[in-house]
Amino acid sequence: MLGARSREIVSGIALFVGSSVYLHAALQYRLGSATRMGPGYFPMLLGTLGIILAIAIVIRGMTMSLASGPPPDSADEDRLSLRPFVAIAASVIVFAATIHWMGLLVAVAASVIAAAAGDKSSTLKGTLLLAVLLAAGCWLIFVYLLGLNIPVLVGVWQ
Amino acid sequence: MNVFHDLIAGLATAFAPMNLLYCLLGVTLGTLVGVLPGIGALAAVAMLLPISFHLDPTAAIILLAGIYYGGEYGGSTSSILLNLPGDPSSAVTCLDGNPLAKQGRAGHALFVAAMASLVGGTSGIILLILLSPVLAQFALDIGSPEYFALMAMGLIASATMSEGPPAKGIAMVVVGLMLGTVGLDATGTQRFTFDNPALFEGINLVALAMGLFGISEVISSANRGDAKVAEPKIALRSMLLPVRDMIGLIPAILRGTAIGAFFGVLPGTGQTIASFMSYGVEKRLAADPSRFGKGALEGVAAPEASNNAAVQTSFIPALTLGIPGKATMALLLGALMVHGINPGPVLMRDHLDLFWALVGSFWIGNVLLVILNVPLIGIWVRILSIPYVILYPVVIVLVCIGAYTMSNNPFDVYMVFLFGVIGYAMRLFQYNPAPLLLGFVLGPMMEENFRRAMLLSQGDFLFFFRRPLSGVILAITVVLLLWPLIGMALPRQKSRASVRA
Repeated sequence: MLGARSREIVSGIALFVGSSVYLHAALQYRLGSATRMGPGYFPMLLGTLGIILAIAIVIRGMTMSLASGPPPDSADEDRLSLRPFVAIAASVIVFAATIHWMGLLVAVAASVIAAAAGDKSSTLKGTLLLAVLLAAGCWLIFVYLLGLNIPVLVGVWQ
Repeated sequence: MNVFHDLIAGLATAFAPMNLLYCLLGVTLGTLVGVLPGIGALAAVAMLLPISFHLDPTAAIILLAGIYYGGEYGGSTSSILLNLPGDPSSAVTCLDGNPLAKQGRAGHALFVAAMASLVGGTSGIILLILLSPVLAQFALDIGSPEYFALMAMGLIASATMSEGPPAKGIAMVVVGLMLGTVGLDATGTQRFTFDNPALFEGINLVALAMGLFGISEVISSANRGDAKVAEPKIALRSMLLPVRDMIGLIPAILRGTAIGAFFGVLPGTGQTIASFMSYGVEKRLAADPSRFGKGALEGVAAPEASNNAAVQTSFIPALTLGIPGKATMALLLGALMVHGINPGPVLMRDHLDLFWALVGSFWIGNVLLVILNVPLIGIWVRILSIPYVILYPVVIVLVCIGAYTMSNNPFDVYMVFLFGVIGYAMRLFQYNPAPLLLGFVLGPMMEENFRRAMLLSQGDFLFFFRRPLSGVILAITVVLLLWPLIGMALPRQKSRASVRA
């Protein structure tokens, strides 16, 4: 995808932008003095440090040999396959969206179904079985045994 | 000789059937709960605390302590198998432990972790016995400038532990520190929270750690299209390491133990700093540093020994001075107080038998951990051959629950995903997430100590160098920072010489 050199430069630029934004936000807070530091002091130091490091990384990237190919262990990450990624995203997001308003059982089941949808080797029966078993198992471990305060099935069972 | 006598008496008490049972129970529970992502020893201790009130004080503290260091080991197991750190200090074990698992050597990694933990723990206990007064005094002598310097040293060590230029590692540390500034600060100001109540107490640690390590791992594997983590060799012989290799790891284990014992007495983050430091030191001293991050056993042995040693020595300030290092320890001390036993010098004077029984049970507990877990290695390794299509939904759900239960806030679960994506991007660009995690964990305390030091010195930045202890520590930090540069200069001369010859 991107050669090692480009990766350094791009990441350095991203770091530069991020640190600059952070520094800008930090300066909105009261800085105070070195003796009596205000909320913005330490963040200001961090933001400045981040910018310096970003510049160093970019410079290092630019001085790397132009001919360097992709970094050694990145052969696997060459292209982002969409389906698995979307499935994982959906799995986490669905959990977040349902846990509070529908409870643990629904959240776990929905999350499992979303995740399995991204894998070619998943079957409907297998997925539903896993969803039910995992939901029950999570209830057993987290609510019953550990006594954590998680809504189990909103409206029916708190 | 008196000490020896007391120790024997303590061991005798610890071996009493009921106490032995509670030790076993504690260690087992601790390990099991420690394996769950995001749920650590703290939750388990909190859960069993009320039950411990009904036991006699010796049994109670033996049980709770067992959960504490058992949880430590469980966290290592999930780090190795699934790249899910149970505790920030276990994050280091992910770096080499997980690659080992992927190479089909999970058994080796788990075995080394168990053995290193035993040695580290046992040595920590010996140091506890011999050096209690010295280490207690040290804990008292640590002032803000020293603590700041120690944290800086730990951060620099961790920054240079990853592949690639130190600048990237330090950048990760700085980003971690930045993330640590989110939330309420010491002056009472809400920083970087954008009026979102979910961020008032800072970014959720579980969301950050699990996202960066675990979810990014899930995304990465799914992207590669692997069917399962690894095709592990199941035969028992291949799970245990040949004795020769184990002996080769002894220096690493001893170094890890020393570092862990030292940092363990530091309040709060000592344990975490210890594991990062020992990894950094091992990498520095290795003949071939490039092995690290790809499955170097020293990278598992040293941090594991360090962890357990630190856990043991963290009891020193807790028991002798009554200063709990972390929340879990505070609960343990609270349990003692419920029984009318106040930790501190009073404990050492009036309840010496309890102290020695506890020390005895520490040793028994560490041995039990190994006895318990070595046979279990076969089961743990089998988990790796579960196809991803089943394993990963389970991992995702467990991580989500772990993140959610921190504050019962769905926002934290969204954060898991955000950090998962960030973690994946970091992999692509060859940035190591471990230093970021350490920076995040140490950030607030670092700022606090910096602020106090500045207050003491009236704004003089050179104050850190004027005080002897912090000056020495910072000097070591600078050496650690410049070591790669020194290292780069030497081989060049060597290879030039060999070319000429």
